[in-house]
Amino acid sequence: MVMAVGGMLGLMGVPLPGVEYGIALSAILLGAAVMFEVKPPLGIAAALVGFFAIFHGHAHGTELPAGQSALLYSMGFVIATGCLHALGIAIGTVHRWPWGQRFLRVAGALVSMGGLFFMWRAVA
Amino acid sequence: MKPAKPSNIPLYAFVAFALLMYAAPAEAHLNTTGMGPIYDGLMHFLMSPEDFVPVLALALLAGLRGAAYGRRALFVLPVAWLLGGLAGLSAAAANPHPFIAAGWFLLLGGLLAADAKLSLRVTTALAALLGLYHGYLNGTGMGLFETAAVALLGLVFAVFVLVALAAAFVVRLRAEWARIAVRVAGSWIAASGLLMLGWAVRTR
Repeated sequence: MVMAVGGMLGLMGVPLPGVEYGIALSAILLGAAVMFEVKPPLGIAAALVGFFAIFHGHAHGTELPAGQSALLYSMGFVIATGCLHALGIAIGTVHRWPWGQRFLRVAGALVSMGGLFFMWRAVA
Repeated sequence: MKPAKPSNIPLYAFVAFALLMYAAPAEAHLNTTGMGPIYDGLMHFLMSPEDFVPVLALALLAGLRGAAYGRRALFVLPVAWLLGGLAGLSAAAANPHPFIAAGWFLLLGGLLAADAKLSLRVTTALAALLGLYHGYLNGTGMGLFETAAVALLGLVFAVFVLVALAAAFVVRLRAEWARIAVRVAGSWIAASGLLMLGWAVRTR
């Protein structure tokens, strides 16, 4: 929902400073959270995810080519986002096994490194 | 020793072959069967997300509230759709306003996501409004065709079936996770509405 709010702002042309930095920072911090198995309270986790979701949604909203179907674009955007989340949750279920915990920590480290790369590209 | 009885298999095979070779008209094109306009109306609804998704959201919402709500939506929505469509048949063509289309997604998706405890009266009003509005738009679009009224019947039939299936599916859900999954579907619909709203502002 919050990502859709970001997309709506992007579609409306509402400027949002530091979108690329926000996206890179989200990958760094969320990847690190997975790597270190941080378990914040639900409210804080939701606020953190929601805050970064605005940047991701805004980027999609502003980069949309003209002439597309509004309805189909919107539904595709939301369905793809939701399915990615569902996939992430499904992958997260391997946490019950020791090898799964190691796998998730490595995956978090990779995401965090990817974020660092994005940040370097955004700054350079 | 008793002589072996001749097998009937060749006879059955011949009858089956003759039946298979009997080339009755396939009537693959439904305009030759009289089912064409009904099929057209039905498919129009199923292939139009701007109609399909709000109906689905309302059906899921009614199903979450219970069987009485589902039954009310099941009968009110198609009847209102039919009345709106009949009114639209004789009206000038009208295009759906993008803000209103986004508004239906936002409203019904938001109510579903919030698991809103609506009264039966409000649910009835929502079903009637949705049916009248979308039916009217469908009617104006179909008014140019001679078989529009029949197509409208097919469309209303599709609305009835979708509400029946979706509401009945949700009514019987008891597991908490399953009801949450239905609410997630509502949040997806509302999120689509947000994006449609942004798009409407952009292209205004």
